[in-house]
Amino acid sequence: MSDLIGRYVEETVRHLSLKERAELAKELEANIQDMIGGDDSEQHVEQVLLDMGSPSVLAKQYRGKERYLIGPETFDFYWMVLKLVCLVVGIVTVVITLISLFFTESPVGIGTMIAKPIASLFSALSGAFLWVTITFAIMDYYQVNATLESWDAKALHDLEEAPTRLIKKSDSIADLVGLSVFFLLLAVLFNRPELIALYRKDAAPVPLFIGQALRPYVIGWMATVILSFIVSALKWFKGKWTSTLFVLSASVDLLGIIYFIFVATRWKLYNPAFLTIFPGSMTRWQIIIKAASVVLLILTLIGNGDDAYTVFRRTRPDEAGPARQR
Amino acid sequence: MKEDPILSNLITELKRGNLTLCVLSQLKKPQYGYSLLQLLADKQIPIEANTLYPLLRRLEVQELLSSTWDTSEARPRKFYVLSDKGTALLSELGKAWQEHYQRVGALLAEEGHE
Repeated sequence: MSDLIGRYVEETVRHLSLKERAELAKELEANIQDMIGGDDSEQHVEQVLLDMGSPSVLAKQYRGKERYLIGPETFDFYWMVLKLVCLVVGIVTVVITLISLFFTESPVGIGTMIAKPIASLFSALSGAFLWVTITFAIMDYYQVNATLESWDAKALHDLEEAPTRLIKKSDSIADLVGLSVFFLLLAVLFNRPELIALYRKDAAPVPLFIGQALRPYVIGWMATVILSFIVSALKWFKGKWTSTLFVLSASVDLLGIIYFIFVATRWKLYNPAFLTIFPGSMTRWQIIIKAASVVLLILTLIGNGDDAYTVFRRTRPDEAGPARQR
Repeated sequence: MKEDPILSNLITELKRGNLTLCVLSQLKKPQYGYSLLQLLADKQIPIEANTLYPLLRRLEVQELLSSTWDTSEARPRKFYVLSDKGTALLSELGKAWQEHYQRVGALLAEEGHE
């Protein structure tokens, strides 16, 4: 009979912290012995232990709190981040794998064409899942709570304004996905600049760029994309506009477009052979690039102006209003 | 009468809120787990063993109870008794409960209630 009690006690304390185990086991056993009293028939012992409830439930009572890898407060945010990261990582991995297969030296069979992207997708997704989960588990363990913010009068008033200044999650996600794909294209451009070329029948392709000269500029371009990516992630995380966020967002947009114009107008980067075929001459090419630059700049400014309108249209009258406490 | 599950849930919840107070009130003199269980049951406050034992442990960790092992009997027993901190807390908690009990009583005594 005592064997049954011993097993029950052992199973209970197994779920508890090491330093408490011995003490709790001794106490629990003493208590159970008291409850059993003189009648130590198997039936009675069974009944007492059944009444005590399952060992894991009892252990939970002893711990006094639930343990989570990722707690209920952070779970929604974790799930969102996990989905986005998997989406981006998945798309980028498959595209990279397909491209690398496409340009590989030796011929590739249809089996490899299917199996290789699936294999790399699986390994990339496992990695993404692992790192996102580990990050959140560590945050939870050290009680870092990203979602709980201070609740005071200012936060209360911000609530009221929020609906007009929300940043759509879908927009931020589209930005992040777009930027990832663009970054990937830049990576391809860096490794194989000659791929952007005029392909003709019965003749060698004529590359648009002089590869060696282009490379350093591509690295700078990648840096601007990374900056944009960080700001987009920030917008997604915050979920609504603030003036600081607007300034950051507008700055990276402008930086991106100015850098693009800067690179596009480095005329020595273009392959003269290409230009004599397509627009006909360097002068025409320069006109095309300059016109495109102006259009892109105007589009960027319109985008920023639209954001500015969203950010500031509500705050201005409020700041002028005398009754409003902030 | 068939027991209403909503009602029994609410009653359980109501009692659970006062459990700590009940346990502390009975520990001016040392008790071990099972003796306390019986003591409370005798006073019409039945409490499950699997609730009481962990509760005692938590109150000890919170330093409201102090404990000693009595090994003089055939079976060793862990005795709990109110610490100074526990005594002070019990008096405050008791007052708070009295006040609350009176207010709730007053609510229920209002016209229109039985």
